[in-house]
Amino acid sequence: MGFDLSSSMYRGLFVLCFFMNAAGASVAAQQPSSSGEFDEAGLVKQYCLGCHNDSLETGGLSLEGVDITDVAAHPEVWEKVVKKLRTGSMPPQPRPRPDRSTYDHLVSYLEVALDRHAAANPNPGRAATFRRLNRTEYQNSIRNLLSLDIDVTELLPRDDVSFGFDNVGVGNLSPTLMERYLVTAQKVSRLAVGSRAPTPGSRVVIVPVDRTQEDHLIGLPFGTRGGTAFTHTFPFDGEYEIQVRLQRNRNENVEGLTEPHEVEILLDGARLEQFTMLPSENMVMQANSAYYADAGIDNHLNVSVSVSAGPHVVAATFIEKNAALLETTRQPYDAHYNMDRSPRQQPAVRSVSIVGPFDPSGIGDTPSRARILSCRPSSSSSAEAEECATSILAELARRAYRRPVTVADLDQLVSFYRDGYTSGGFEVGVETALRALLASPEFLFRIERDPEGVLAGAPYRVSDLELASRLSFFLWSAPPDDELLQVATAGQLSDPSRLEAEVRRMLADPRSQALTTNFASQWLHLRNLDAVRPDARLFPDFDDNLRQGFKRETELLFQNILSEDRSALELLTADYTFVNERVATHYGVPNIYGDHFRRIDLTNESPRRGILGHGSILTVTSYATRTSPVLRGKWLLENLLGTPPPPPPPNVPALDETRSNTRIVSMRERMEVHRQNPQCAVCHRIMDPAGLSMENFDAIGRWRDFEGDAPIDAAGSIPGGEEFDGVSGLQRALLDRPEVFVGTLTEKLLTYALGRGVDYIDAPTVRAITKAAAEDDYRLTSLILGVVQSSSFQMRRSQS
Amino acid sequence: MIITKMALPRRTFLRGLGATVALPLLDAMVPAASAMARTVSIAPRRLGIVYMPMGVHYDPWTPKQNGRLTELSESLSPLMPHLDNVTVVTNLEIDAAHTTGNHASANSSFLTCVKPKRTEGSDYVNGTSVDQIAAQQIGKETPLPSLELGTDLIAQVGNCDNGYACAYMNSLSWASPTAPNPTESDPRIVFERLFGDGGTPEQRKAELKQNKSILDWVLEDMSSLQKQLGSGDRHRVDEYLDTVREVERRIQRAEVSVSDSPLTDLTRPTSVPEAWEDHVKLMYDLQVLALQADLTRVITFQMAREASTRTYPQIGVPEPHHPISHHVDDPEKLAKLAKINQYHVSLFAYMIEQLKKTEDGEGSLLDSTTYMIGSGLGNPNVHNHRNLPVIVASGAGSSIVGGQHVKYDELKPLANLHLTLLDDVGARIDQFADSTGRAGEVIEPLTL
Repeated sequence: MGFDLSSSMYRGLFVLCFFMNAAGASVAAQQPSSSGEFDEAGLVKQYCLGCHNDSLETGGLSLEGVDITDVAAHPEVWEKVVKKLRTGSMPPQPRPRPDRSTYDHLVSYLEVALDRHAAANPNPGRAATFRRLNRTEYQNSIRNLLSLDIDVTELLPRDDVSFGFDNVGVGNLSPTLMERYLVTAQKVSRLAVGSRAPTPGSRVVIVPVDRTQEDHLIGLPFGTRGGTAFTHTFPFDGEYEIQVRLQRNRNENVEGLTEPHEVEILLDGARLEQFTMLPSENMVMQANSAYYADAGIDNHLNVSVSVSAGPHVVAATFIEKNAALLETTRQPYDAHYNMDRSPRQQPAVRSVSIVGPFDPSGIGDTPSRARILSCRPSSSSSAEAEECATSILAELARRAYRRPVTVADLDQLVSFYRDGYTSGGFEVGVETALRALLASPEFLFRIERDPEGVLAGAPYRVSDLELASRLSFFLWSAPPDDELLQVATAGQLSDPSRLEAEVRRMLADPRSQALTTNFASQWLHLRNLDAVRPDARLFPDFDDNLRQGFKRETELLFQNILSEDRSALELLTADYTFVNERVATHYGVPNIYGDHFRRIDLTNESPRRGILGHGSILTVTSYATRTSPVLRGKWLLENLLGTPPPPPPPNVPALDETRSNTRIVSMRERMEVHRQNPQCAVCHRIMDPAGLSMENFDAIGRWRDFEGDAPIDAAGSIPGGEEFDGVSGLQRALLDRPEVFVGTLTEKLLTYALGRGVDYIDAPTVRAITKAAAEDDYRLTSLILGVVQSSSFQMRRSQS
Repeated sequence: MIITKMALPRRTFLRGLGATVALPLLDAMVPAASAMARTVSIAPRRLGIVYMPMGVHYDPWTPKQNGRLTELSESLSPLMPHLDNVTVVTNLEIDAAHTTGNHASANSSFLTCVKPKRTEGSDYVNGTSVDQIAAQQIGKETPLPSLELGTDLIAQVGNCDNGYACAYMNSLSWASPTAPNPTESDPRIVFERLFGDGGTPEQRKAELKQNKSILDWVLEDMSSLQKQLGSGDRHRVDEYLDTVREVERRIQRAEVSVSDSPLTDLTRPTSVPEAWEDHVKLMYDLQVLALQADLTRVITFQMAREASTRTYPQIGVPEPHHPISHHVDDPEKLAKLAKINQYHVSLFAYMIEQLKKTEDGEGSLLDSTTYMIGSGLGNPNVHNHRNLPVIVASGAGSSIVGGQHVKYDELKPLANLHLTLLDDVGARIDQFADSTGRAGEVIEPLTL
């Protein structure tokens, strides 16, 4: 999102502050003695009160009435101070600043006091009592519960994001959302059980229009090029019609169809049918342009096939015609084509649709039916059927509600079963009850209850079952599995060594990939890659293959650090990365072939070491037409340094409207305007230098030494640091204070794990986790374990 | 392909890049709706609100004439064919929207006219939006009290605007100060919400009945949960109970309208059209359909989001919208901004065209429908909320006189216009947010 310059104004206040500090700057910095007494109050008076006093209240903060010898009286103030001192961002350059050891001392003094206060007054915070499963969690819950894969983006609306994550603002339930849950419950239960033949439905899978389809794509047979493959859960045995449509251009003609091509449709890797796609011979002249009247020309790419119920892989692709170079132009685009300038050379798949079932004939064993129907009635006795159904529902309810099931829970479900049984038999009964179960608030919400008799506003341990849910949704974005539920039900989860064992077991489980695809992708803004559309004229080398490749690269790095138990700092320093041919081409790494990802080592000079050199981050922090040092700076401050740009103070007067601007050349020069105007400079002198150091990467992450004719000047700085040059300097500056980066990562993990925004009450927890991890090389798993072992994770504050 | 009762003439919405949509239900639904036997001889009134982000370049927007219009300004020129139906209003403001997160508040305050609470968390507080006030009155008789639509599918991750939760940017419509209504941008899902799965009327009814009994159980379960909780949490459950009861009500209404209801369809909208323009037009088409079938009478449509970085190369603006709107009086940027404004207006004109072309009883759908398009941001360069661009389109059944430019001498609250709109659709209230009266000038006949 763009940053609002015009509302970040200090005007007179700031100008005054300049004057006041200019006056104070002439006083030489006090040299503290190396040991013995520090005058903390004196330090504050000398370095801070010039701006942060009652009359100026710069940045909304006054330290005048706040006694530093009684830190415990105002922890919310001193935590803010600590944050600024830790990053070295206050006093701001070029104000007089004390030396590093003075900083260290003051920080340590404050932190000790704050930690002591926190230990004496534990406050684990209070996440909402009702927390709805978000989309991702819902999808994973269905998989866990029913062994069924669904595409939740087609069924439920997206979740709102708060504090950077979509599992925080989840206390709401609008009527529209409730309706969606009802519809989804009906669809999912039908698909999972399949008790009755459904009316024909359809699903259309659309291939992004900017995907290059000239080469072999992973998941498809060798010897083919382009196309798409996906898993579809067929609802019932029967006849299905699969139709392929090809990409068309703005004139609605099939792109790239100048010669015959062979198209094939596959089911589970076996060819169903092969078709010849001939170019159209129907040219029509209209006004000044010619176009081909080829409206139904791909209608014959259609096959009717008998398919059994359950998941199958459906694919459509082209037979590769030849391996020769496609173009003879001197510099072919990496993407081979783009919509704007260079039309496709060969046709591409647009969509694959599946319609059916026609002539439905029955349903065998699908993974979901096998999972649900743990027993089947052998006779027509309704009593036996109900007994079997009851045991099925008990199992489903236990897993769905994430706790042992009561008689009352079961009674209601059985009554739904009976309704269904009366109308259609055993399986209809089970399906009906499942449908109700999926709409139950005990499934849709995670509920944490204050225990009986607890005092108001007092911390208490959450129950083992509540802890189990917290743990599994943190590590897996999914409900607890049977083993975890068992441990929790037996009351053993609160035992620290048992808890640690479970954490390690869960991290080793493939479901922990959720930390990569859900946590990291939100923390690093990788999700925004889907919305990025670099201008096709300026960046003709960008395609969807690259977009997906970028995402995968960064995910694989995070995943590797997690699964190989490596230091979190490796996110910044890794001497390796993961590429496929497309990404390697983009980075200029030679001799990488194929669509699959593999690990490559990087030299010391490589700019791709760590996420700061990953195309994903660089693209997601740019606009469609150009880089944005502001967005990059903001991203760095928010996500790596934990110091988001200060919000503008209220009641700031409007920017003078008639101010005009001259045209400027380089990005750096353009950003200068921010700094010339004191109203804008306040925030931009912090954001811009960080982002400007990354200017060697263009808006789609390519390395460049020039911007037009001008050589790139990548001098930059981060708050509290010295000036450095380029991304390697940025990296060093970040590593100079590793606890800041790791502390920020811990904050993010804590936010994600607790499902609430973290603030000053959690700062001692973050510090403790970070310090402990420092002893362990700042391993990522240490941070995760630290979060789980913290009192914020294991306890909750009761309602006040 | 199996053809069911599709001997009805198809209505193709859209062709372009493969997003063909055929909706035979249209013809089948209309008789069903009129078979509901409206006891009132006057057609029901309908309200639509369209949001365009980031204000406008004023010069080509504001008509030179005041009062009766015989011509339109350049940005508004696509509306010429509908000159008699449009009222342009100048000098409305939302005072409360002046916050540090102007984009968030421009969007969230457009229909609430209150200052949103500054928070990134889920403890957001806004106001009840005017469309929901209308829905509470005129939405009682339709299966859906209101419909909230948008065109942005992918949610951004991260802080949305200077400390304001993304909910403020995402939602125009707020059912209560703490309940934003989510917008739906996938036309396929919108279609399903309107027409469901299909099936025979008996099947439809059985489905509804099933849902109702599930909801009865949910209500019971929540009520007993509630008893075990502390007071703050109980309040939360009250909200949930209200939600569930509201859905039950909708089901009851749907059961009534299902009696003569349609057929299986095999050709719903396939998904989201590639080109943004096609997507927008498809959403407009769905709105027309929803109104014509009387499935709802209140619609809000977020045509684009505040701070959108969408580019519009199709009209010669390859730069992202948001930075362009910070035009710093650069003539090139201003020209591009005006192009975007005109483009958005042309799509609104498309909507009016569709309303006019659609029969409704004796006249057209536009006769009974009032549509407003506007922005919560006034001057985008400085992020103020004064002199908001606002256009109201109305037909024969409305008390709003078209073909005029109402220019106030001093700034008036947008809330005044909202009160007028509420009057116009029969949902009169006396006061709304910071209203100081009604925008009487848009309804009183002008002396020439």
